[in-house]
Parts: sequence; structure tokens; C-alpha cells
Amino acid sequence: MQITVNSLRIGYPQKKQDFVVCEDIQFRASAGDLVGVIGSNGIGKSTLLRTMAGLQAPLDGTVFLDSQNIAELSPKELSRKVSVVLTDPIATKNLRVREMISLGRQPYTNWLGTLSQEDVTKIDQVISMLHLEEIQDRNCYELSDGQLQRVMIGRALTQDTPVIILDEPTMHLDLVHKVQLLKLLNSIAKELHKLIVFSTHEINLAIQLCSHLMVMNKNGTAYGSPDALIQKNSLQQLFPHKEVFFDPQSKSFTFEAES
Amino acid sequence: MNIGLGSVEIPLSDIWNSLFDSETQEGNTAYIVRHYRLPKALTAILVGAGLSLSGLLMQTLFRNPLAGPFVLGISSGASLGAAILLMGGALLGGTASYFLYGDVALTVAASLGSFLVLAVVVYVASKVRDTLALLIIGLMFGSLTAALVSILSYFADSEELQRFIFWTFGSVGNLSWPQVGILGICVSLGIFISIGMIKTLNSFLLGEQYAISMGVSIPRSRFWIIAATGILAGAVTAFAGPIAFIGLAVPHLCRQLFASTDHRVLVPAVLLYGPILLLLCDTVAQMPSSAYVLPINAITSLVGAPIVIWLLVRKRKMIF
Repeated sequence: MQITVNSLRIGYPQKKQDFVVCEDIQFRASAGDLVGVIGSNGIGKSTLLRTMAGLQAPLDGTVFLDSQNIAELSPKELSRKVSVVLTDPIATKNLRVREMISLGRQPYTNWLGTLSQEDVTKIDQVISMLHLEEIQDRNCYELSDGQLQRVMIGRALTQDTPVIILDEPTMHLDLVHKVQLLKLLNSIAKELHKLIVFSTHEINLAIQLCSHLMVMNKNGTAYGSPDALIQKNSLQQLFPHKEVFFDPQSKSFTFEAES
Repeated sequence: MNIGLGSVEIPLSDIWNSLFDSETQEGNTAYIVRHYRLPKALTAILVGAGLSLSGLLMQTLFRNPLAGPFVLGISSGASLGAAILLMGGALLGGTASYFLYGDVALTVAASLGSFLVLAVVVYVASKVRDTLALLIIGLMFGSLTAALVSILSYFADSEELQRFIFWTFGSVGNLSWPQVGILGICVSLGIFISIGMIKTLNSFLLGEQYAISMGVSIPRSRFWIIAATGILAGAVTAFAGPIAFIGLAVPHLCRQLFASTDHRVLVPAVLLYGPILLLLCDTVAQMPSSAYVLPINAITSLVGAPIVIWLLVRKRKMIF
């Protein structure tokens, strides 16, 4: 599975003139890649991810899954190719962890949503892979942010799609859990051969763990492996301010202590 | 039991006989049972089922625990229809309206009113993308029609006003067999659509965005959920008046009792508990062995509200 983004213009249609968030986005990623989308607040990371997931229409340009334009896929077909983990709070947290994860099987179940033996096997696999056995009968409102995030990733995994898109999965997590989560995504991409695209503000971690980065700033976008982007000076332009700058030696962002 | 209790008390054995024993199928008792008590009990069952189910649909669609079957302006539309018929005599021009008095006319007026408002809301729903906006639009239509009703009541004379107020009390009695039949068909249709929507309703539990990503077409499922609610609540309101509370309370009751939000559990649960609660309320409203019949609308709240409060206090945490 390959995702190809072709001269994409994203934003929100408006009566007089469309509100363009970002344009001329171009990149290609394949199964096994872990793509981190980075950029400052309001630059359009979420809009890009939502557009790639088919949750909102692009203003122009196309997103291809292999050779298929996602705009031409039915919701049902798309739901077997792309799964999502969003920032929106889920409407009801009064679901048991297992029920929540089982909902990921919806694209495959019958009209009533009855789980087949195959579905149950799949759910069990995901639960054991994410080490959720102990909390599988708990209610989602009892979970910590880190646990809930793992459960939501589990739900996306049971949807069994080649592409998984996550919007700021590291939000609300402490450093340990952030590292754990990104390592988990990394291993999912490599071992299950999935294409994972996620947005994050954890730039330093993303540089270390992602196979590719999508850098979004006011002047446009840049895409490539972290090392290639460092050489092209793309990361240095991420923040226009002087407060924070990129240090190529340590491969991380840093700031000058006040003297 | 509900059949047995009323201004004339009828023992259970007599009810059995008058229903199934051909020898006793004549006489007063049998007549009361077969033409008055039985249709009333059936109506209560249908009304309870219809209102509870439409309440559940609305609470899930709007993801709002305060939503009920009437958030789409159905009851206010119906009351506007009834108000125009009962109190708008002067507006319609005297003599013409006298022909229209009667229960059938009232039913027709109420259903016209509710379907008119529902049609407007469905039309607006197709224009609006935000479900929350739809909820507010429904409430605005409610205020709008309520305002019109107040203006009508201000100019109405006391007799007209009394008729209208009696209608707003709600009633599950006074339905003839054909009317019960029509109500039955409408409620069955609504239940049928809802059963088909169970899986979609479950995916709505995670919010619309997740629902889309799991292959749900939002405009289409929104249309069917609203259609089912319209059929259920519209038909019930037309025949039994605006019976409040049941639609709001029964889904909460079932969520607490079954500790589940899975619609595969909740849909059958509300279809069971809605009728039970309404039959119970109706029995209380009859004030057994007395000639008085209390307004069912007051009883549903009197009986239902304490139950819901008690459940919530006992569990300390609301399941939604």
C-alpha cells in the first residue's frame, strides 16, 4: 500500500473565497513508513490528516491509495483502508475497553454488528499485542490518558487497515508515555507493515523515531527522512522565531538560556 | 392487570373469559374489556414503546443526555395543529370550524402540525452539517410554535382553552380499533427502521468523525434516524397527545439497569421498559375503582422522575 498526495490544497470551502490552510502539498509514503507531521500550531496538521483520512474533502488536488483516488471510494471501502485516532474526545466513555476495541470490526461485521470467530480472534490478538488484557473489562472513563490512547490505537488496529492516521496521539502524555507510544507506533509500522501517519509537537522524539517527516511551515512543506531534512536545512525553518532553533549537531531543537 | 383496573373493577378471570371464551363474549364486562380496556392497554404499550425508542434515537444522534423524542419540534408542531383547530375558530371563520370539532379532526390536525414542523426540520437538516446546530434549530422551532400557541390561547375563550389544555394532558384512551391499528403500523415501521440502524447507532457512540471512518454515511444515517423518530413520535403524539418524560427517562433507566450503551441491548430494553412504565402510569392515572381519570402526562412525570432520580443517586455516576 502506498499513499500519494498530489498537489493537495487543504482548507475549508467558503462562499466568497475558500479559506486555504495550506497548498501544494506533495509526498509519497509506503507501507512500513512511520511519518511524523510536524509544524507549529494552526499550520494545518490536523486539516492535512483529516483530508488524508477522507473526513473532509480537499479544496484541490488528490490523495491516492495505491492508484485509487480516495474521493472516489465509498465510506465502506475507505473504512477498510484507513483507520483513525482523533483528538476529538469520544462521545461516550461508558464503553468497556473490549467493546471499544470491538467497534473497530464494524466495517467487517454483518448488519447487526455480530462478531464472528475471526473478529474475536483479531480482537484478542490486538489486546494481547498492546498488553490490554488487565484492563479489557474496565470502562473507558476509568482509564488514564495514556491507557485510553492505547485503547484507541487498539480500536484502529482491529479495523485492520493498511493505513493508520493519528492526530496528536502524544497529547496529554508525560515523557515516558510519549516515548512508549511512539516506539509502539514504530514497531507497529515495521512489524505489521503498516503505513502510519501522525501529527505531533514532540519534534525531538519524532526526529529520532520516525522514518519520514512532513515539515509544515508558512512558506510551504518539506518531506523526507529526518537526516535528509536536516541537510536541506528544512528543520531550521520550522519556527520563524528566534527563541527556538535547531541544532544539527545534537539533532534537536534547543533554546538559549537567558544570560 | 391494567385492563382489570378502572372505574369498574373486573377480576382477572373475567377478563380471560371475555377475551377467549366465546360463551361470555356478550354482556357488559366483555364489552368494556374488548372495546375500551384492551385498545387502551394496547395503545399504552405502543405509545410507551414508540416514545422510549425515539428518545433513545435522539439521545444517541445528538449525543446529548437531555434530548428526547420532541427535540425536533414534533410535539410543538402537534400542539400548534391542535391549538389552531381548537382555539383558532375565530381565525378560520366561525362556522367552518364547528364541523371540525371532534377527536378525529384533532388527530388529523395534530399529525398535520407535527409532520409540517418535522418536514421543515428535515429540510433544514439536509442543509446543516453540524448535528448540534440541528438540535438548536429543533428547539427554536419549539419556542416559535409555543409562542404562536400562547397568542392563540390569549385570544381563545375559556371553553376552547380548556379543550386545548385537556389535549395537552395526553391520553391513551378513546382510541378505536382502526386507530390503534394505524398507530401499531406506524410504531412497527419505526421499530423496524431502528433495528436496521443498531450498528450505525453504536458507531455514533464514538462521535461522527469516528463513525465516518468506520464506513458510516452520516447524511444517510441521520436521515433514517430522524425519519424513524418522526414516524414514532409523530404518530404517538397525534393519537395520544404530547406525553412527556417517557421518551427522556426510559433510555436513561435502561442504561442504568443494564449498565450498557450497546444498542443491541438498549433497543430491546427500551421496547420492554417503555410499555411497562406507561402501563404502570396509566393504571395509576385510572385511580382504580374511582370514576376519575387523572392526566397521564402528570402521572408519567410523578412516577418516572423519582425512579430516575433514585437510580442516579444510588449509582452516583450517570452512564451515558
